[in-house]
Formats: sequence, C-alpha cells, structure tokens
Amino acid sequence: MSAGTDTRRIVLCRLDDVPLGGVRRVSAAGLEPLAVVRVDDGAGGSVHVVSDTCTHEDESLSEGDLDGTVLVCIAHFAEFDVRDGRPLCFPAERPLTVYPATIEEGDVVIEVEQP
Amino acid sequence: MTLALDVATVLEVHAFLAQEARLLDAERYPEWLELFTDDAHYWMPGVENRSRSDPMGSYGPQRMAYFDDDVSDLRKRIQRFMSATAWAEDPPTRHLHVVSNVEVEPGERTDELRVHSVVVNYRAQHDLDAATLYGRREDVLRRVAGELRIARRTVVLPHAALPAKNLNTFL
Amino acid sequence: MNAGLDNPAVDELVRLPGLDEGRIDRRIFWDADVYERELHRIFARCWNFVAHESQLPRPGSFRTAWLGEDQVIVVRRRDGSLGAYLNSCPHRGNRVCLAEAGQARGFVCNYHGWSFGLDGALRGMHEAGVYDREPGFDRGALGLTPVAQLDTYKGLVFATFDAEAPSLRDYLGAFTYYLDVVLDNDEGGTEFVGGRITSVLGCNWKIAAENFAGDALHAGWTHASGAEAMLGRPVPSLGRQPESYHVSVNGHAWEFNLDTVGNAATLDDPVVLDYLRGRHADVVARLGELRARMVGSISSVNVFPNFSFLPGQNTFRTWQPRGPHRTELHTWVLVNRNAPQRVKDAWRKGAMMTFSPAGVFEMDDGENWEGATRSNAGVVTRRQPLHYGLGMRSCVEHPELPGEVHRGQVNDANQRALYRRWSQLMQARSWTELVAKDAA
Repeated sequence: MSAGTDTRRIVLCRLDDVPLGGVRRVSAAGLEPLAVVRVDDGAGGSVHVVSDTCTHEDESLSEGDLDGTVLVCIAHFAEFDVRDGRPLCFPAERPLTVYPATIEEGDVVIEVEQP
Repeated sequence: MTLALDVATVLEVHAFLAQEARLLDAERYPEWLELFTDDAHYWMPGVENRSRSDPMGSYGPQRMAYFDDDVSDLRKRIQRFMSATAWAEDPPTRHLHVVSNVEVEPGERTDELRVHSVVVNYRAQHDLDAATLYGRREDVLRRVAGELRIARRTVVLPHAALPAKNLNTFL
Repeated sequence: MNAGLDNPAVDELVRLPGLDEGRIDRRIFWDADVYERELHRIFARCWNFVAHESQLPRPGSFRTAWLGEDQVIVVRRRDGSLGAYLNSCPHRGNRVCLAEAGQARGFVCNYHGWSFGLDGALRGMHEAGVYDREPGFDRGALGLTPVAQLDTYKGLVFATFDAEAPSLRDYLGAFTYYLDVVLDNDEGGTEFVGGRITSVLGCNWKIAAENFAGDALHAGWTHASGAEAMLGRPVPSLGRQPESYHVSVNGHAWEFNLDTVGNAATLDDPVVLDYLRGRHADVVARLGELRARMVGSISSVNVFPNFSFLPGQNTFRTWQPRGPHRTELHTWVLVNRNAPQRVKDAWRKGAMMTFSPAGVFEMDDGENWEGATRSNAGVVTRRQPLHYGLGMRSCVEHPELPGEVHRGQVNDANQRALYRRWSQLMQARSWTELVAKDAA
C-alpha cells in the first residue's frame, strides 16, 4: 500500500472453512458479497477472493461450479477466471473484482482501502 | 516407386475413382474388391449429433460403425449381395455413385497418395422407393504392381440418422 | 380434440376380436387414429427403455431419448441419481438440449436464455431482473417437466410418464428371470459400447417389435443370404428343434432354443465363441443349466412395447414411432463389462456386420416390413385379415420357465401375447383399471 492511504484489514473466514477445490460465500461490512475460492493446484491449494455476484445477472457465483481456476455461474454457465476475474465466455462480458488475499495464521485476509 | 504429383497422376486418380463408382453402380462387386490392397481397412463410422464442445466428437474408432472392415469382412458382405436369396436386392436397387471434390495429396509413404473426395449415392428401387446418401471420403491409395489400389478408406456421413432402411452398397 | 381416444370405431378395432382365433385386423398397422391412441395409451403410459447406465457415467452425463414422440433428457444428477425431463422449455416450448448425448452443467434454451439445472429446476432467465419484479412469477413452478417414474433394472434405465403405472419390477414381472440371461450372466454386469446408429424405416413400429418378439420363422427364409455369407450354410430348421419355446410375461416376449451359441455363431468370430464357451461353466453356476444355454442361442426378444434385442448378436434397439407408417430405429451393442477388450471389439464389429443398416441380416428385414406396411394403403387390401394362428394349442406348463410358455420356437404365440397386451392397454382408461383386470 502506498504511504498516505489508509487500509483496512479484514478477516473473511478460516481457510479450513473452504474445501479444497471449493467456494465459500462471505460477507464483510461495507463490501459487496465475496466468494473465497480455494483452487486445487496440486500443491496445497491457492486462495483467491472475487466478487460473488455474476456480472451477467445477479446470481451468486458461490452456488456454481469450480472447474480448476474457472468459476461457473449456475444460472447461465458464464465462466470467470478467479485469478484475474476475467470473463471467459458468453453471457459474461464484464470482469469480477479481484481482492488480493493472504493467509495469516489460518485466516483468509484481504486489505481494502478506506474511503 | 515414388509417385510424383503430376497432372498425369491426378488424372489417373480421377479415372480410378470413376471406374470404381461404375463397378459399384453395376454391382460388379468382386471386381470392385480387387481394387483394394490385401491389408485394406474400410471404415464408415456411425455419426452422433454431439455439441461442438464435446471432446468425444461425433465419431471415433472404438465406437459403432456401419463398416469397420478388413478385406475378408468386405468379402462376406459381397457374398450376400451375390446370393440368389438376397431378397432385398431383387428387383435390384438401381444405384448411382457420383464422385466429386477430388483432391490428391502426397501420402505418408512414397508409394501412397492421400485422396479426398465426396460421394453421393442415389438409390432407387421399385417404383418410387428412393434415397440419397452422402459421404466425405479420405482414401489412402497405394501403387501395387503398377496399379492404384485402395489401402485405407474412411467415409464420414453427414447423416446422424441414416435416411434409409438400409445401406445396401458401398460408398 | 382427439380422434384417437374418442372414437367408437377405434374402440372396436383395438379389441382385436379375431385374436384368439389367430387373426389380426390390418388397420392397426395403418390407421392414424389408432396411432394417436398408441401415443397416449402405450407410449405415454408404459415403461420405455431410455438408456443404459454405462452411458451416463458421472454427474452431468446426459442422453436424449424418446417415449413415443415425446423427447426427454435423461441425465445423471449432481447427487448421482438419474433424472429424466421433457426436452421442452416451459416458456415457449423450444428444445433445451440439441445434442443426442454428452456432458453438461445444465441446459439453456437458445431462444430466451431460460436455464435449467441437472435437476430440471429453472435456474435463471435472460433479463432475470425483469421477471423478479413481476408479481406472482414463481421460478419454482417452472422447471422442466419430469417423467412420473424412472427406475433401472441391472443397468437398463426405463421411464414412464404415468404416475399410476406399476413399479418397473412389477411391469417386468417374471420376465426378469429371462432378462438376467443377458444382463446378469457375469458378475461385472453389462455396458453399451460407444455410439449409436440410427436409421429410418417406412414401416409401422409394431411390425418390427413383433418380429423380435417371436418371429423365428423368418430367420431361415428372410435371412438365407445372410446365413450363407456369415456361416456358409443355411439357418437350421427351427421347427424341428426338440427344446424350443415362446415365452411371454405382460406382453414382453422371448423366443429361443437351447443351442447356446446359435445366434453368436452368425458373427463368425472365434473370439466371441471362445469367450462364450469359456464362460459356460460360470454361467451355469450363476443362472443354471437351462438359462446358460440361452445366452447366445438362436433367439429374439421384445420388451413391451418397443425395446428389442438379440442374445448372441447383442444388438439392442428401440423402434421409435414416427407416425403410423414410419419408424426410427436406434441401435446399440451390449457387452459384459468384464469381458476383455478384444471380445468387446469383436462383438461391436460382429453386431455391425450382421445387424446394422449395412448388416448382412438386417438389410433384408426393412424391405419386408415396409412392404407389410405399405400394402395396407389399399382399402380392399386393408380389409383382409392377417394370419397369426400358429401354435394355437402349444401352451405348456414348464417346471422352470415362468410366464406363458409355448413349446416350439416357430410359433405365433408371442406375437399374440404382444397384441393381447397392446389391446388391453389400448382399451383401458388407466393403469389402475388394467391392473385390476390383471388381478381378476
């Protein structure tokens, strides 16, 4: 974070609350619903946090499938890459917001800028 | 022997395929079979109506096929055609095989050619009993003792449902 | 509104008054009102074969299938169970699945983006926000219409649209004793090889179904050329087989003799015959001596109404009605799951060589069945009854064989049994009414 900007550290959930190869929806005060995604990369898993709402219609992506790093909406099978939020197929056209996440003592943590 | 892709060879392939079609139209099946090498494989896979994204594709080698034949299999089929008790062939089906879109390419071996073509089989029987079948073929033709022979033929139909009661010829 | 159901002339026709004297009225193969009634009272009512479980290996695996002219999507759901739904969007009626088979996360209608999960439930719509603001719009009430019942018997998946229909086990009844000959002769069970072959015949579906139900007579005549090609000799005279039978249960029918490998031999492949002979002792241990001799014998089967197969050649097929004079033939090949790959390959090739549109046996069938259908266009021809009078006094009690048993493979008993069941269903207003009659 650059000097002069206030950031807020938010604990979203315990890492163990998200199954390997699975997705968990979390809410945090002042933020849109988020999806904590634990990709099974064959090396213990990598954690990604993205906005949980499909950019096509207002569906919760954590209801959908995780296929590798691809999160699939249950409503129309729109696909997003959880690493960068990029939409991969119709009807998704706009990207998801990505929240860089870290694991601290077993917690999934993001930092967001204070307004 | 090396085959050069010269005009004469291309013309020879055209003539070969036209002669083959004429033998089939005339039900001269034993002569037709002589156009194949001893190790020939004749394959016409069944075609399934699957999505573009389906990794299975619409056909494949371990799946059901109209023909998945070696020469001895073809000989058995011909034996039925030639039988006096092949009831469905009498009165005969009047076949017309039209071969088009012929492309000649070098083969994997120096004595072989890869030949693409399209075949249309119009079949008429009795008064108004008729059907039209289509296929895209990929052949491997081999030079054997100076003559072209079919070493491998794949016929892919566009029909996921064969629009006929049977397939009583070769394509 | 429905000429097939509200027509006293059809009521009289489907009673089949001549059946017990061995006569059938040809109009049942031609009349459009009879056909319409069949769609309601046979195909929308009976258990129809829709898939083999091996074709639906994991969640999202699907196939489309037909119950009469109603198409369904048969799918393996997320929880591993099987479902089947009408392939028609409740919004404007378009198909939601255009592929015959594959792997899907769900099904989305191409028209307006209505989207359905593997459980058939409505998951979303294009412009969903507009719907959500619509008072009274209820997603929960707008899923794909499921079949009334779906069940499996040893790998075969069946479905019915009729909630009143008896359970699949009761529908098959004692016929499972015979089905086990092909479905349970090995501990590993069965599977279908990949692919399906489809062709179109200009015949009434019943002419094909009754052929497999009981027509051993045609084998030696119709298929003389096929036998010559594959065996180098004619089909043996089946009328002189000392131990051969027509058996039927609830209209399901199996004709057979006990020669063990007579059908299988027509594949002319030692790999298949060696496999069957090598397994014979095991099959005897599983099924007993009698049924072990049925595994690949000269025989044919129809499960009512339109699901047929040939033990030995292992071709499995449905005769899908497409109007009174047209039938779509769907074929698959069954193999034992535990059989070596080369045995499976031999069966796949052999079944195609004998019973596919280019098969040396099947080629002569379609011509006959089309002729037997089309001749009935003639109004005078149509008035002439057909002879189904063979084996009128052949019914026997058998110490082992369940169902209605007739001695003699060259017989019309199974065909009569098929049409008797057909007649009962065509007359009955409901399954409940028919089951009550069955019990009486």
